[in-house]
Amino acid sequence: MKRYVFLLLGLMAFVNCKPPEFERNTRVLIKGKMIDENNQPISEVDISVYTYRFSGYIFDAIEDEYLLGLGKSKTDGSFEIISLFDKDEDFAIVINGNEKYTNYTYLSSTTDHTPEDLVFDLEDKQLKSVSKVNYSINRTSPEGTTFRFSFQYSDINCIEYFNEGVLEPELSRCFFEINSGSFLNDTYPDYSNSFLTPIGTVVEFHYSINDQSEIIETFTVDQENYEFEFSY
Amino acid sequence: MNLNSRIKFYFFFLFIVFTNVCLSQNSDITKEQDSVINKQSLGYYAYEFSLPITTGDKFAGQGLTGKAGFNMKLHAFVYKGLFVSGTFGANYFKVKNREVVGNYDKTTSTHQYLSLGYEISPWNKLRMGLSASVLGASYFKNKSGYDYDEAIQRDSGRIRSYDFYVNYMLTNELALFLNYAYRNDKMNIKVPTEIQEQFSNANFHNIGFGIRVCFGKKDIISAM
Repeated sequence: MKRYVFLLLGLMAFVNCKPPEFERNTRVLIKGKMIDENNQPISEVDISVYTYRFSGYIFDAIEDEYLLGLGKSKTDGSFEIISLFDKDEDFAIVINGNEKYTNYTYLSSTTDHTPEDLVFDLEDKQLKSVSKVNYSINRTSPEGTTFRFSFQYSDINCIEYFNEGVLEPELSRCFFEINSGSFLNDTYPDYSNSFLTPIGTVVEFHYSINDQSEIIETFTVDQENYEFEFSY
Repeated sequence: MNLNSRIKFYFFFLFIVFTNVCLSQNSDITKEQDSVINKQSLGYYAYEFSLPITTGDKFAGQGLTGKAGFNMKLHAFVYKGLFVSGTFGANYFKVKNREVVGNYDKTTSTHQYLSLGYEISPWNKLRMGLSASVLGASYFKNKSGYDYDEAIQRDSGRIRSYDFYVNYMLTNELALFLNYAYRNDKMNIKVPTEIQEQFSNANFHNIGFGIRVCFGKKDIISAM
């Protein structure tokens, strides 16, 4: 009996070695139109369709991403992508703004639901222009001064979850707030970095010198490349 | 008249011409008993290497490029030049435009089908034949990635193949041949209405060469 149990376990361990197979004899169409915040068409935006599958051995299975279809928006912003199809809990259509525009993800479970007409119509999809904020913080104060800071700004990703074609706001997240910062001291007195945020975002800059009370300054990102410099 | 209808029309026109030529010629066969090569055999096995050439405005023509292929045939003469042929083989394609077909890199298409046709012998060592598939299926295995990120998707279709071949008999048993086939497979792919026409058929030409090994000396009916 033991021998059969081990044989069965051995077989199970190899079951996932087979490459995943997607839906037979099926193609879906992903269509829509890309527009910016001024309702102008956006061309050459990458649109990709993904599914996710577990692979590897039974004890070290990992979730892999598989590309099912890809294409770009045309001059008038419209796109029609022919894609393979997979029944998956995380069937995703990803629009990549390539750091010029915000990113958008259409997420849906296709395990029990396939659109009858095999069309995923994203309709008009508005992407916001993105700014790259380059910031630089330098110390001009004497040694021993510490500086704690953080930036609060909007992310450039929007993920919308659809259940049987209907938007689920509770499961969707768009342009959520990001808080990132650092602590500077004698070892690391200066710091420079960058982040992406939609143009028009009001960024909050929180800082505290020598752990005194926090000060908040704000600035509005109004151009493609925004420079922010601060000395303490 | 579309391309498919035209091909069918020409094919059956040639078929009728071949049949007439053959019927008139077969009456003379008995007078040529002293010829070097036997006019009739029971059938033959054939092994063929081929080159698929995609064509047309459907998904195969726009999205795939043919690389190579092979066929194995078993051919049996029912009565004189009238034959039944069974074919099994495969064609290999690479994807030239993923935006047309979906995201995969290459396709292996296997097929099996039964054909009906007619063969004539215009010269002593030469055989020519035409055939059309009557029953069969094709299976397209589409692969993406390599090793760890490999994935598979499968399509299938009903085969429609129209073949024309020329054989040169080296001996009574062995021949070299050239084969041309036009494939117009009716696909089973479910697609949105907007792209239905694009995925309705898979069209390609198949040019092949190979050898055939003949067996028997009489057709099936004559042998009974």
